[in-house]
Order: sequence, then structure tokens, then C-alpha cells
Amino acid sequence: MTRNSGLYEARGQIGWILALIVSTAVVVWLEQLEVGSQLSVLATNPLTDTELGTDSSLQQAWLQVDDPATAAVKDQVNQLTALVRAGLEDGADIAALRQEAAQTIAVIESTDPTDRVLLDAIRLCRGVFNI
Amino acid sequence: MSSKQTPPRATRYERQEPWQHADHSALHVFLWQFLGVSSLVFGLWYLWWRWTVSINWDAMWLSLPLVIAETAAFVGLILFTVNLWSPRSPRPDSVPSTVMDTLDDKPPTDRPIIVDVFFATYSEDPELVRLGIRDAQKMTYPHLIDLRVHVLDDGRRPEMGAVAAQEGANYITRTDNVGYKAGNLRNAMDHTIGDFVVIFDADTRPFPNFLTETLGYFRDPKVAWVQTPQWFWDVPPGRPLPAVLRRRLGRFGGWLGRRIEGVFGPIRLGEDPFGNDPQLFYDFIQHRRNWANASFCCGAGSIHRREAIMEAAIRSWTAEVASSADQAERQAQAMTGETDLSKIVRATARINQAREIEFTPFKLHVSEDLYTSISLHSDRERGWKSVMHPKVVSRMLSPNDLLSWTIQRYKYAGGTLDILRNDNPLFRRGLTLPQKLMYAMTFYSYLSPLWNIVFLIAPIIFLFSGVAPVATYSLDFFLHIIPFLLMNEMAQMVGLWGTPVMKGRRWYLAMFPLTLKALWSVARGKKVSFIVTPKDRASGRYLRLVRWQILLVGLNLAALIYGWSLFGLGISGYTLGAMIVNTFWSANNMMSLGLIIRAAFWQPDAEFDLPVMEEYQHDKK
Repeated sequence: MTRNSGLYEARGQIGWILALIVSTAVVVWLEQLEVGSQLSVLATNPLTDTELGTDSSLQQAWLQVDDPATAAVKDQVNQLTALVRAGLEDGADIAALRQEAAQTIAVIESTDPTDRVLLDAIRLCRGVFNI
Repeated sequence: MSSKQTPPRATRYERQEPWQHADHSALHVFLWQFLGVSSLVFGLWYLWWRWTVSINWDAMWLSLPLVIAETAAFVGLILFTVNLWSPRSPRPDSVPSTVMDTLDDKPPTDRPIIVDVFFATYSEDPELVRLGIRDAQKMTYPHLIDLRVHVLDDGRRPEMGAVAAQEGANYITRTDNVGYKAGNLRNAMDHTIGDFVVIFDADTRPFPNFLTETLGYFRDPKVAWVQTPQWFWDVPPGRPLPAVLRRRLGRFGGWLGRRIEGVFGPIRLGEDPFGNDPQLFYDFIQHRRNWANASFCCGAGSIHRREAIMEAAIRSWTAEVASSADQAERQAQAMTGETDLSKIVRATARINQAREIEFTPFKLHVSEDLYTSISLHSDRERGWKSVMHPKVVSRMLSPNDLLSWTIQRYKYAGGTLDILRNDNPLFRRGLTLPQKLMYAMTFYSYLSPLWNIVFLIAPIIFLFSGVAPVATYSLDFFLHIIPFLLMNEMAQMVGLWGTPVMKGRRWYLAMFPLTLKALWSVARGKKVSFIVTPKDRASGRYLRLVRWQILLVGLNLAALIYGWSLFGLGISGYTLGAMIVNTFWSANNMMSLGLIIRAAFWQPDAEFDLPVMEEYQHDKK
């Protein structure tokens, strides 16, 4: 048996391995893009207390508002983003976090939220935990 | 039926050559062992994560069966790794010159070795058997040898007798067909005296070197039998891509085909439509059992020491008589109330049982070869050995239509599962642990439809319902499963280098309804009947035989369309990661199922004959 004949017989497996690598790379890349883009909205919004200083209109609008209702929404968004961040960490207990996220979302949704940032945070949380 | 005096299917197949033994170097084997162990370690890590973290408790009805199926398949992988672990095998000594060279207890007088060659037949074309007889008579040996060819005709056909007489072979028949092939062989044992018995089927055509390749092993007096690979020389070689394209597109097509082959290597369309290439089984699964002395006999193409067959039969018969007599004794005690039966009564019971139980050198069973192998391997007192010889030294015909293929595979599955149910070797005394593991691998593989069915329907359920069998298709999921899948694939590629593993695996998955049916029959205690595998191609399309596979392919296609539509609409649960995983999974399942569906439609291609094939010969050696 020559090297070539061995390669001919292994073509199917080599193709399978390549397909696996490529599809995994695509999944990881797209998931990171999706999560990343959603995270960036939240990371740069004033409610996450991080990476402030961008000039998005949304952020500016939030910066100017400081009333009790917004503070409550801010707490809820922070709660959701904290869960998302915990879920993305190595060794996270996904099942427990998922359950906690589902409960948090259920509580928030029972108040019929309309705030756009809060809705974004809910969507992000659903996406990450597959809720 | 083939025409008289003409070899059947003697066209391009005549030039086909058998596979060469994959003789891997020590470094290659070490690499396989390293990858094999790594694959198991990653597999354990993945399963641990599956059981402890990833079960979707909200959809337990789907999540639990899948994780159980994955675990069951992983147990099969462990057994498979053990099976393939080492190619260490006995080497044949120089061929024995006389019978004394093959015995432990030297006889007072020496003589040439006597070899009986059995051609077991029932309804096959006598002209087909004629070819085998002629080839058997051409078998060479460097020393004086007494070669006796016998035709064992269970069909009691005068024309078969005439062919045997014309070719100088002995014709043996009987008045009934008790025990089918095993009974036929047993009857022949009563009429012959050879030191060694060669078993061929009606379509077997031995090469001249059959005896010189195998008899050397018998210098070791413990060797009971040597099995040689069954090579199907009529497996359709397929149509070369350049030839097909040239017929359709002219010279440009031929040029295009050659360019494509230049990149991807030789491409044959319609090659081996029935997955009959047995190299994986003989050259790897069977041959790599030699280190554990656990390769089993597969019937045709094997050579046996008569003493071993007879001794196994005597032991088996004695045990059966004793067991039966004990049962009769217990019944007598229950009836009479006597707890201490006299010696005379016991002896009489045993004599009566001995009279009633037939002495059978070959166990009367649909898988008599496997049964006899287990009996001999478990005889620790004698320590019988078996050898799987790696080199092809005979050729035979393959089941060349889906009906014949189904009959043959059902027989294998049913026979093996019947032994598992009624005479489980795992609980049998005498077998060593490695031997038990090897037999466990054989039996376990026939339980595979129980988990394969879950693998086949899980992606369909997700795509239709959006219910995921894992808690989340997150990066964590990919982090755990991908290393295992990659490592497993690489391990198998290296370990089985030289044989098309992918095809074998796909057939294994695709034949689930057949194995499931055999499993169900045996579980209900139904007897698996013995049907002769047809040697002539039955024409026709066998859609009924692949109805479940067609149904599943249809469901997969519908599920993919439905699932991607809902993903496009942004419906909850249909995440991108989940869609890609399940699409990949579903496509893999459809490719496997497609193989057997294609086989149901396959027809021999008459347009590509020998000259066409020779024009496109590639150096594949």
C-alpha cells in the first residue's frame, strides 16, 4: 500500500474532519459576532458602568436621565448583564445560571417593560442561555 | 443462471485484485494507540460534562435518551479500541512435511498429511461449484500430501453428482437436511478421515497457495483452526469519472474528469453499492484479535484440525447430556418424592439422554461458526488457538443485490444475537478476559440500533420543535464535543489506515431497521431461520426493504426546511449554533441512509466493460 492509496481511502474522513473544523469555526465566529455585537451595545451603554465615553445617541440620552424609574431599569439591566457575563466565563454552571436568568426575565417581563436597553438586555440573555 | 462452462460474471471483475494486508509499522501502531487513548480520554471528559452540566431538564424526554445513547455508543468505542489495539499475531512456521510435524503426541508411524476439502452446497449452480473444485485441485504443496475434494450436496441433485464425478471429486449427500449447513458438514465428517478439514462455500475459489499459506500454523499443536479473509472478487468496481463524463460531454468531459481526479484522486461512481468490501472486518477487526487468541471462524475459507472439531463436539455433547440428565433426575425426584435416587436410576437416565441427544461436530445453529469458535476458545484444558491469516488466498461471490445482502446480514445479526440470548459467552467459564472483551465487541455491535435510532431522530425532533437535547449550544458545548470528535476521527483514520472506514460506518448506521428486526425477533424468542444466501443476482428494485430509510431522509429534508424557516423568522430556540450542529448532524445521517437507498436502485452497468475499465486503471497499490 502506497501513501497515495492510503490517502485515497481516507478521503472521506479527511473531508469529514475538515467539514467539522470549518463548521465549528463558523459557529464560533458567528456566535462571537452575535454575542459581541449585542454585548457592545450594552457595554457601551451607561447602565453597565463600563467603557463610558462613546458618543452614541442612546448613551447620551441615558446619561442625561436620572430618575427613580430609570434607576430601577438600570438595576434590572445590570442583573441581566451580570448573568450573561457569568455565563461566558470558563467553568460556569450553565444550568443554574440559565434557571436564574429564566426567573429574572419572567419577573421583568411581568411588568411589561418598554425600555429599549432593557429589552436588548433580555434578548441578549435569552440568546446566550437559549431561553 | 450462468451458462455452462463459463465463469459467471467474467468480465472486468476478472482483473480485480484483492487488498494487500495493512501491515502497519511499530511507530504507526504506537501513534494509533496514543490517539485511541486520547480519544477515549476526551470522550470521557465530554460525557462527564454531558451528564453533569448539559442535560436539558426542561426536555428530559429528549435529553436523557440522547445522553444514554451517547454513553452506550461510547462503550462500543471502548470495546472497538480494545479490539483494534494491537496487530500482534503469530507468524506461520514452515509448512509441515508429514502429519508428525503437526502433532504433540507423535504417532508410531508417520505418513503424508491428509486434507479434506469440503464444498458445501444446496441449491447453487453446479457449474459454479465445478470452478471451485478445479481450483481446489490446483492447490500446491511442497511435500507429498493427500488432498481429497468432496462436494457436500444437501440438494441431492444428480447434476451436482455428475459434475463431482467429472471433476474427480467425492460426492457426499444425505437423506435429510437436519441442521442445514452445520448438519451437512457434520455428515461429511462422518464420511471422511482427513487430518485437516478445509471449508469452502459453493462459490469459493481457492488460490493455489491456500495450503502453503495456512498449514504452517499447524506446526503448533494447539492451533485448532486458521481463518483466511473472504474476498468478494465481483464487487462492482464502479465507473471511472472521466469515462462517465466523456460519454456525456465528449472529449471535454474526459479532460474535465481527469483534472478533477488530479485534485481528488481516483473517483469511481457506483463503486461497491452494497458495502461488501470486507477488508475492515478481516484485515482489522478479526486480524487484531489474534493477540488475544479470539479471532473467530467465519466458515468459508477456513481450515480446521479435525481433532479440535471432534473434541469440542464431544465436550459439548457430554455437557449437554449431563445437564439434561440432571434435569430428568430433578423431575423424577419431584414426581416420586425420593430425594436420593439410586445409582442405577441415575445411570439409566444418563444413558437415555445420551441416546436422545445427537452428537454434532458442528453445532446445529444458524451461526455455527461462531458457536464452534466459542466452544473451542473456552476449552482451557486443551488451550486451543485460532489464527486469522491476513493474506487473501481465495475468492468468492458477493451478495450482489439488496435482497441477498439483507438475507445475509439478517442471518449474521439474528444468529449472533441468538447466541447472546441463549448461550452468552460472557458468562461462560473458560474464556479469558481479553477473549470475553472481543466477543463482547461482536455482540455489542448488534445492539447498536438501540442507540442509533436515537441519533437518527434527535436532529429531526430539534428542527421541528426547537427543543434542544442539550442545555445550550454554547461555546462550552463546542469546547467539549469538538476535541472528542476530532480525536476520535483521527484515531480511526490512523488506526484503520488503508481501508475506507467512512463507508463501513455509514452502512452500520443505515442498516438499523434490519438489526432492530433481528433484535426484536430474538428478544421474543423467535427462531432465526437458515436461508441460503443467493449466489445469483436477483433483478429488481427493493424499495420495501429501504422504506424506513426513505421515510427518515424525507423527514430530515422537511425538518431542515422547517427549521431554517423558523430560524429566519427569529423564533426562540432556533439559535445559529443549534442550527449548524443539527444541520451537520442531519446531513451526515442522510448521507448514511442514502447509501442503502442507492443500493436498492442499483443495477449493473452493462456499458462499461473490461477495455473501458483498463483504460482508466489507477495505481492503487
